[in-house]
Amino acid sequence: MNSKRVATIWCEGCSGCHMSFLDMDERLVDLIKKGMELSASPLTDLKVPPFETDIGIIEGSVATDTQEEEVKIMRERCKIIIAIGDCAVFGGIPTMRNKFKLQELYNRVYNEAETNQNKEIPNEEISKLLEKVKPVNEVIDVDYYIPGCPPTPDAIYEVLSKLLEGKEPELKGKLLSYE
Amino acid sequence: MKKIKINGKEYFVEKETTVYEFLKNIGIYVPTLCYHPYLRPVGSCRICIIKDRGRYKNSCATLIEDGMDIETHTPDLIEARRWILQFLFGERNHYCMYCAVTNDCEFQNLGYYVGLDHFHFPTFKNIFELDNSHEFILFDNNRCVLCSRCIRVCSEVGGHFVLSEINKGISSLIVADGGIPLGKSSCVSCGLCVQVCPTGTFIDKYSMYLGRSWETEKINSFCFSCPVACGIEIRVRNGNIVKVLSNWESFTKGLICYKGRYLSVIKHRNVLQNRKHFRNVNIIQDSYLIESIRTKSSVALIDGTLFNEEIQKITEIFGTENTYCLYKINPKINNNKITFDELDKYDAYIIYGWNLDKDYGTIGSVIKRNYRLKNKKMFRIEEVKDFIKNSIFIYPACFEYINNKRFWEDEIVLPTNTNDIGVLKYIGNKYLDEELVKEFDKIFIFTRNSDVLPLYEKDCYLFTYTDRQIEGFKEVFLLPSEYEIDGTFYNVFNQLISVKSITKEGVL
Ligand code: SF4
Ligand code: SF4
Ligand code: SF4
Ligand code: FES
Repeated sequence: MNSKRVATIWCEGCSGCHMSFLDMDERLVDLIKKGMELSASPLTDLKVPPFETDIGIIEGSVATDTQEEEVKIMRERCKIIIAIGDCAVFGGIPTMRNKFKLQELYNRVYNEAETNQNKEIPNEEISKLLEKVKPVNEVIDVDYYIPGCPPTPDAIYEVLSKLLEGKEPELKGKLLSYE
Repeated sequence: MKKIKINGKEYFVEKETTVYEFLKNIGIYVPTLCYHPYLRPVGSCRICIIKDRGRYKNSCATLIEDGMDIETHTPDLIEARRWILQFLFGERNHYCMYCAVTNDCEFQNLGYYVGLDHFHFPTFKNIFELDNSHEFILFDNNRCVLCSRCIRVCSEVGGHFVLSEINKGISSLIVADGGIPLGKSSCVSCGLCVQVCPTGTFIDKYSMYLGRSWETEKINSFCFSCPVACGIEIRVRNGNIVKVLSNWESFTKGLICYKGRYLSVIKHRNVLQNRKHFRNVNIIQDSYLIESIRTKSSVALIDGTLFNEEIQKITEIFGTENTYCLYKINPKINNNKITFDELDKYDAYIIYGWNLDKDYGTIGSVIKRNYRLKNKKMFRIEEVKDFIKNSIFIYPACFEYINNKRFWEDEIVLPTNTNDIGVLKYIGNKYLDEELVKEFDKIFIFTRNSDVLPLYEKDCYLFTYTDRQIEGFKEVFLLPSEYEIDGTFYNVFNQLISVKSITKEGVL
């Protein structure tokens, strides 16, 4: 059997898309039978796949310098990139912060917030926030998109099963949703 | 007779019609956005693009001509529509997952129709301030696609001329009165802009999150808030009123004012909250209760906030001889015979004692738009010195206007309460002054309007519709709202209007 390596990463998102991925339930077995070989994922605690991969799935938007880095490595190591979920596809909920300047946000969260006792903006050993949150396609080329917040397991299954069979996926009707 | 071809098939067209409307009639779907069936087409968004003899045209604003050879779904057209939509989804905030109208949005549906699965252009290029200044309407330019439907409906239909577009290109935005907060502008809160907006730019605060259109039942009815009785479409979900829309197919052709759109629903909701503090009485069904309190020497005082059936029942209980008007009613309202449609035919409107935006708002709309768009005249009676040809005099019945010399051709006297004409028809022009009331030992007042009421020293029972405590009565009973009972009434044009109960009494 012609197996295909699939890796997933989790950027600025809520992990809902990964949950939806797991929600394919017994159809995951189906996908494995079609040749899916799950390599790196948040579960393996590998931030990015360490080797050449066929399909790379990106959840979440790009909001920090580290995520920007990871997404670029994904593009280098994966033949096909799928942006999954509204955050990866459009930018999603994290883009709500794009209405404000980064400095305003730091002030509000770390200086003005009543719950923050030491009034200090963390700056070491932590990724830097980008000035604006971006959807994945503003950083790298994306081959397939599965919008939805989160996308239904049906939509994810449609895309993955078609790709594993070497066919062109198409999201239509209920499978295409922005919410 | 024009001979045309559509996707290779021949058609003969007789009427003057746009390409889009003809396609729709023969069942060919072409997507639209700025087009609205009851507004003047402007052809600005281009999503309805088609090809005629190889040239691209918008179908909504192009008239059918002899010899046209139209193609509607070639691969390049499908591709073009996808790009047009990409342009429209870019630059602003079309993040559906945090928008109040998602899953109930014309613009979003277009995205699904063309299969848009990502944004090609960046978003949030310009960030406009959210305008939350209006009591009923939330206004967020970040979701606007500049289709101008709101501008057109506010001016051409409503006659209000509040909205307009300022700036150019990416900075273009819709503003009220040239750029002040909507809540401080001359907006009369008719809500027409909210009704036609295809995006989440204009949102009804009082109905957001209560149910998407497709989750609601659509019930055609008439507004009971004033004697015009505009045609309305009530959206109901699980017995609750989600919102009121104007009905384009009714005699008022899509017009509505703030009372029918917002006030009556808000009051209905408030009264529902307070029902438990009162004894609830339906005059028709619970007449035994009224009978049991009534004595031989009781009098009923009624007004035009009651339905015909309620008035009839009251006269049955008390006898017509013991049923009187609560307030003096001007008998001239019985002579009204102009229809709403005919209001359009006059060249001049003479007005007295009336604020066109506050009461009888949709009659005001007709006059205002004819004045602004059709160059018709509008006078106050004090300004009129001579007879004016083809004119109509309009004034509220509470102003007794005595003038021996008629300067006008027709007149409409506007009743104070919705069904004043019904009151006249059932009991005639009968008014009891306070001295005579004293001769009865119990007084029963029936009115849905408890704002200004005469107070009597006698045993006095009030049957009303209110969300607050009222002092000075032996007992206060709560009547059902206009949405809770079947009934008929006469509007200002002397038409018999009938409405059906749409929510169960007491459902919240
Ligand atoms: S206005 Fe419509 S298309 Fe735009 S974000 Fe809201 S739901 Fe989506
Ligand atoms: S509510 Fe009515 S008057 Fe106000 S802006 Fe909208 S259409 Fe115009
Ligand atoms: S506010 Fe709504 S109706 Fe008005 S131009 Fe924008 S999208 Fe169109
Ligand atoms: S619908 Fe025809 S141009 Fe907008």
